[in-house]
Amino acid sequence: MTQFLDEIEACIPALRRYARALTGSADQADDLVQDCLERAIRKRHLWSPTGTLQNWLFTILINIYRNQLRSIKSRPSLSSLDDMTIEPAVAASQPSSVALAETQRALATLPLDQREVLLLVTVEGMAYKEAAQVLGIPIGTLMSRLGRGRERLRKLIDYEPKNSEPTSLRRVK
Amino acid sequence: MIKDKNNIHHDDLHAYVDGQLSQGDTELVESYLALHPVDAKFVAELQEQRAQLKTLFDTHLQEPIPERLSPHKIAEAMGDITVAPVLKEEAFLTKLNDFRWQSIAAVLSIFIFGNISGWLGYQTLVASHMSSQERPMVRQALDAHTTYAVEVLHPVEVSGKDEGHLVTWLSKRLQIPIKAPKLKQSGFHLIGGRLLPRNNGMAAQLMYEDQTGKRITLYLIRNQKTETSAFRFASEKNMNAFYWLDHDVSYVLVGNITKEALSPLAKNIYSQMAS
Repeated sequence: MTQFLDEIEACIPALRRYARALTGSADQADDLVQDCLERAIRKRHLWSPTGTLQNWLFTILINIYRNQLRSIKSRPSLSSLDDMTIEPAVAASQPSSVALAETQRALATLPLDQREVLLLVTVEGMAYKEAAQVLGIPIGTLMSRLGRGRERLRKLIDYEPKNSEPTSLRRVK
Repeated sequence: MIKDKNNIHHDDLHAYVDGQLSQGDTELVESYLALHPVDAKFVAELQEQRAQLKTLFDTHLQEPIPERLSPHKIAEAMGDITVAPVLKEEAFLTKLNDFRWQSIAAVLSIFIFGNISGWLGYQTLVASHMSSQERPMVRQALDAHTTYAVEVLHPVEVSGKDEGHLVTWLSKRLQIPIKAPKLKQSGFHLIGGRLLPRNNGMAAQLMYEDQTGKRITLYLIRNQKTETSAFRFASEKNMNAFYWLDHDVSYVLVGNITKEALSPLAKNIYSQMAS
């Protein structure tokens, strides 16, 4: 039991990073991680050591988030944009921080299924097969969501800033 | 595996960006990109996008983790039911109980100088692999045992002398075929049983007694999911319990007797009920 809890503890930084990226809000992310940990501890007899503990935790976290969104469907999913702060670890005056903020805003406009995939594959660096297992989808579906998510970000974001006008930020909405 | 080096699929370009191609395929894609500037631009943009996402969120890896996200704290806070895999980790359980005793003793020595004998019997429910469905069931079985096993005048609603009537009645109310297992060989005889209310349904309790007056109770509820499970063990205060699911019925056997004494009774009941 103690060992199990220690193993869970080791996964928390990655879970928080993913939750943060998925929800766009620090508080919401930590609430989500807490719900995930509680459920994992309560349901730990369901964990079969065939996969990694971390991937199992990701599956739980994603399922909780999906259910939460389903239950508050009346609220527009973009409401998390209000909570978002632009806080990349780059000085504000540098053009790259504008690009990063733009990426974060664009990410929040992606449909959840595309965001889930894109973040697992890029931020978490998960292998396609693993990510498909975590999300419970066939690998073909994963690839098409990844493709659509990336395409949409590409359209929203100018990756070759000509003279980065501040107005380009508003295009996202 | 890329089959045609002149016709690279978009999925392969994604896999290239994500570093998920084999060495050979990576080289194929690189030589392809050298000849196809449109795809090369596409790949460069995806690489930039990937790098930006990493930069954006990797900063959160270094943030201090708030205390409320400590798995140890969460496990501790999850109520009075402390869960520990028992059969495999007996040693741990003993350690856990020792720890409890020590902490209780420490608290007592500081704050309480009066009558502490009541507290010394206190231990929280310790159980193996308890699910959210099993937890309330075991809780209710323990409470029902505590309530009725000590009862002198009215331990049961229907006496074991009317066994036929008892099992017909309980089977009808719970809508499951109930049998009263025979435990004579183990020295226990049926005193009788009662119907108990529970969330969204009913439960039955059968009570047995041995010659010394020790009582054990068998708590039965209808199992909605018709699953089966292995024997699991739980204990609280001086009560021990085995619980298991068997198709239509879930069972909890509770007694103020040792785990070693209770275990053969549970197995005996299981084999009688299964046949």
